[in-house]
Amino acid sequence: MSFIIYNTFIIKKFISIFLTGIVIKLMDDYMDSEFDDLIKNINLAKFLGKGVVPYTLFVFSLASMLNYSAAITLFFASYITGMTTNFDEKMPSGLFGYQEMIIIFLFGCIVFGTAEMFSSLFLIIAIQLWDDYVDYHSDKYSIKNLAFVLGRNESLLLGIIFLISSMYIDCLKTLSGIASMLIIVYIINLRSIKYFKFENPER
Amino acid sequence: MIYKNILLYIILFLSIFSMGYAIGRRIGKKEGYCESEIIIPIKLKQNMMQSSFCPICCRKLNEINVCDKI
Repeated sequence: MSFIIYNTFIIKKFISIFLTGIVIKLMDDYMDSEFDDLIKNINLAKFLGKGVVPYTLFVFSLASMLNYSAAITLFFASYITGMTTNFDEKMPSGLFGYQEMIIIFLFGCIVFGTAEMFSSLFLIIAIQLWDDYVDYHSDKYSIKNLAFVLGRNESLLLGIIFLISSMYIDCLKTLSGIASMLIIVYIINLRSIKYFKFENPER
Repeated sequence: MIYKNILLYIILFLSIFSMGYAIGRRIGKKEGYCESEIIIPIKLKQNMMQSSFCPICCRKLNEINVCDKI
C-alpha cells in the first residue's frame, strides 16, 4: 500500500485516467443530449449547459498534464469507438467515419506507440461492451447498442476478452480505467438520485 | 512472465469459447425456427381441438350461430 502511496507515477496515471474518463463521459453526454432529452434520461451536459466545453477542455488539460500519453490515447480510443456507429456517415471534417477512425488510429500508433494505443483501445472497447451489456433492457430505443447487434452474452464475452487483452499490454492502465469507470458510474448514480428526487418530484 | 502467459491462455480459451458460443447460438436459432415452422401448426390445431377456442381471435368456436340454417 505504501508503495502505491509513495509512487507518484501510479497516482498521477490513475488521476489522469480518472479525469479522462470524466471528459469522455461529458463528451458522450453532450453528443447524446438531444436523444437523452427525448427519452427523459439523465444527462450531465445538460446540467453544465454552455459551460460543458470549457469545463471539459480544462479537465482534459489537467489529465494531459499528469500523464499525456494515457490521457490522449484514451481520448483517441473513445473517439474511434464512438465512430463505429457512424461508420458510413460524412463528418463535418469532410471525411467519412471510417476514414477518421483509421487516421486517428494510425496517428496514435505513430506518436504514442502501438502498445499504448492498443491498450487504450481495448480498454475503451471493453468498457463500451460492458456498458451495452448492462443497458440491454433499458436501451430499447437505441440501435447503437452493440448488445443488440452481437447478442447480449457475446458482448459480455467479447468485453472480457478485450479487458484481459488490455491487461496483458498495460495492467496498471486497465485497473485504473476499471476503477475510474466504477467511481464515475457511482457519482452519476448519486447525481441522478438527487435529480429525480428534487427536480422531478412526480417520478 | 508466468502472469502474462496465464493471461494469454485465458484470452485464447475465451476467444475459442465465445466463437463457438456465437456460431452455435446462430445455428440453433435457425434450426429452432425451421422446427417451429413444422410443429406450431400442429400444436395450434391440437390446442384448438382440445379447448375449442380460435387461435387467432380467441373466441369460443361454434358459440354464435350467424346463419339460421347451421
